[in-house]
Amino acid sequence: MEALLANLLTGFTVAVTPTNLALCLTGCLLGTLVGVLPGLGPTATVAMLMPVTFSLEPTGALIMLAGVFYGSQYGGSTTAILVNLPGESSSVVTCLDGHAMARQGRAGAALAIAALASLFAGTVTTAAIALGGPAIASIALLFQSADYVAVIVLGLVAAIVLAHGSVAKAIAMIVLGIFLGLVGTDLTSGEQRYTFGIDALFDGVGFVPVAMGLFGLSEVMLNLEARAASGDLARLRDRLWPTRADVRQAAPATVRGTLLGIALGILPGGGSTIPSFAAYSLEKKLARDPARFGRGAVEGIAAPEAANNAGAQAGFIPMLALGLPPNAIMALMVGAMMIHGIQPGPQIIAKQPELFWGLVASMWIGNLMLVVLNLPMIGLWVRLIELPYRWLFPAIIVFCCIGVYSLKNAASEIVIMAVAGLVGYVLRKLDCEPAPLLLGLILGPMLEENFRRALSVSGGDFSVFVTRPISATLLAFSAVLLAIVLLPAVRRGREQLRE
Amino acid sequence: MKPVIAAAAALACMTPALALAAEAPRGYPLKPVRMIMPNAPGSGTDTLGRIVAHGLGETLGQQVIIDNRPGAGGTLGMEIGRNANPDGYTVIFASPPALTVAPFVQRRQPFDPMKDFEYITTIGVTPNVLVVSPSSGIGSVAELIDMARARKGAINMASAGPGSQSHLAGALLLSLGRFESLHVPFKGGAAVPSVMTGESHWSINPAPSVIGLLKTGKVRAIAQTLPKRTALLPDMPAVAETVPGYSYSAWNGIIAPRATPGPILVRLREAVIAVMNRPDTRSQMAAQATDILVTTPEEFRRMVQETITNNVKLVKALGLTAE
Repeated sequence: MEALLANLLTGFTVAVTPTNLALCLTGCLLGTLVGVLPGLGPTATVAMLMPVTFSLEPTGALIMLAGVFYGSQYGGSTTAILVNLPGESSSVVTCLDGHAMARQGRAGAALAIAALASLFAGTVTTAAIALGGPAIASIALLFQSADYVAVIVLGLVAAIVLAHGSVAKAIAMIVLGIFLGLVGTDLTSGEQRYTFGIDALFDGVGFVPVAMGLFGLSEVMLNLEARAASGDLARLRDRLWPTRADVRQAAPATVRGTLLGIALGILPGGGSTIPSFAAYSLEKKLARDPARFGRGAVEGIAAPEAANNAGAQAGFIPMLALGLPPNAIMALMVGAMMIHGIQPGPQIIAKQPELFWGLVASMWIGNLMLVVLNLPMIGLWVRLIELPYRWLFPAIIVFCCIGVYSLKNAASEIVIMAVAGLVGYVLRKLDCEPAPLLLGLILGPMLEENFRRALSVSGGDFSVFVTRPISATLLAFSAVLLAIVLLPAVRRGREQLRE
Repeated sequence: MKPVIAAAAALACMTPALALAAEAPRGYPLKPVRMIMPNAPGSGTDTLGRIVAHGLGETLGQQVIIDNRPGAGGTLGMEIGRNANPDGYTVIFASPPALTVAPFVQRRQPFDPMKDFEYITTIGVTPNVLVVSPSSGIGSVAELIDMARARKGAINMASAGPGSQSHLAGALLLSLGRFESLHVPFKGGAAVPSVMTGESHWSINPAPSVIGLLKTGKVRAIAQTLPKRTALLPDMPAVAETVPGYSYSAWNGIIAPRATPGPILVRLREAVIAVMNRPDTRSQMAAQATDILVTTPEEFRRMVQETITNNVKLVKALGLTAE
């Protein structure tokens, strides 16, 4: 304990130097900005900033790059809540209840809950990195293909819980998402599947353009349609801050979201998107009245926002402790460290204590900065949506196009977003939820890849899924969850028959 | 009407001026230069490109902007590069996957590596490293081959996907070393972690992505893929010491769209060479386990032709071509 305090002291001494504080602030500001701009993501920003870091001292460089990453998690929720447009893929589920609250005139409360949940998650995750980084990181190395299959199956079962309409429609949406995920190059043979010879589809259908089309553009269309009848959408009716009841409901959800975010964030490919989906499903399952979800439940904001921030920061654990980057941004950070001649890995804590502890301390400071930055902004943001919609919607569409284009610098992504927007409009007219479709799109390709790989390695023996303890446990859990979801539906069906 | 005419006249005057500037390297570059990167940000190739672009910007006195155009194995970026205006303001950061593999695995050949580009110079060579999981008990290339022969196909080779460097480097070893191993493809960087978990037994991957992991003790490097030992990876034998003739490493270099004016190509080549000679570039490249190598355009062209010949042979043998 004393050693830990001494280490933290080292870290804070490094992090509070004027240069490092300034770099931390720069990173957080930039991150908030790219987070607010839909589509424009932290990966592109970190890549662009990399040459700048060549001339910086390595700790300062990492502090800034890290700030961009977790800063974007804060910013991403802002547009999700205000205009139903996920600024980052990890804010997709925040749209569901966040925007519902905004429509009820409670945008201020929703934004405040998102920011505070993120702060809590950031603080806990930072503590987790400080306390048990290397130990936690080694968990990631216990997972093999069969175990990933089980995790994904659990995720897909949870996706059914995500929807608040009929189970049949939710399953249909997941399957549609999985089908979309099949497009692209087959991983085993290198063959093209359903690409129609279009180069832009060789690497599959991107998640971000689809998410922005399904949520953002279809929302614009629905609003324009509805506005023919009514006035502008979200007037601020309530006070800006969350009520005591809000906080009471959000607090336990935040804790659960944080833990889930850390657990999933350290797995390769985990990042911050999957934890946010998972946290939302979990809250909905635990809620006494799941019908509130999608209609402005505070837990539906607090949990995924905590989870995405925890997931984003937990990604630093395998990166720093093992040198294993779980996502593209961490890969960029490894690159930035290596340019300075620093090898991430288990020795980094012993050999470069200033860097490791300085980064940890800066993350905590950065999270605090973000809340300080974001809370006063809420009043401003909320006023933004009181602008006449005829001015707001062209701006939304322009930012969507810029953001999506910047993903791969390709116009094809804009076309995909536009098509997804139309499809999203039709789906919402049919009362089909887009969230399960997106989860299918993310998890489908991962499921196929790991399933085929697990069987390939086992020589076609299906027993790998039940003989590996992690896989067996998770699959059993999925089966139980599925039974809980399906049984009431079956019972209801029977009751209807009797009538 | 008048302003329109004036604008047209101004344009007409400007066009020859620009054309002149493009022909004579004097004053070149007058604006930022775009460097097309057919790889995703954060990839190993992207990191090397950013080091070069940073130095090049300082040498040329104009920023060199990395334009990431990943997709379809690098084909998308290469096509954009080929179709760009050959005025010296677009160059391409070339690597073997995009230039020598991707065009030969698709139904229609999207570009001709030998005819569509002007070659400027290579910047360096990055070896690959053969890693094994410590739990496999394999300590050398010879032991790997013996074990694979003894346990026919029950030894897995992880790769970064069909047609990737990692796959082709492994396939070449299987063919020259005359042994079999089950190919388990992963997406991108997940191949090495699978060796760390023990799910796969061995994998060949670019050195920069591997060297940081060696100290974890969860993965063991037994050889590198340059024809000889290198000072970059001391104490690491070359695969060729066990399997004579084996060599599979990645060069990187700068190319430009065809018909880029000769004087500009010369200017760019001088600038790249100056960058590669800088001590800070040298140490940054060494940190990426990359050996600096500058060549004449003809040597570069010959290297590419040779790489194409070798890779096409491998790709055909593996049945990766579309036909």
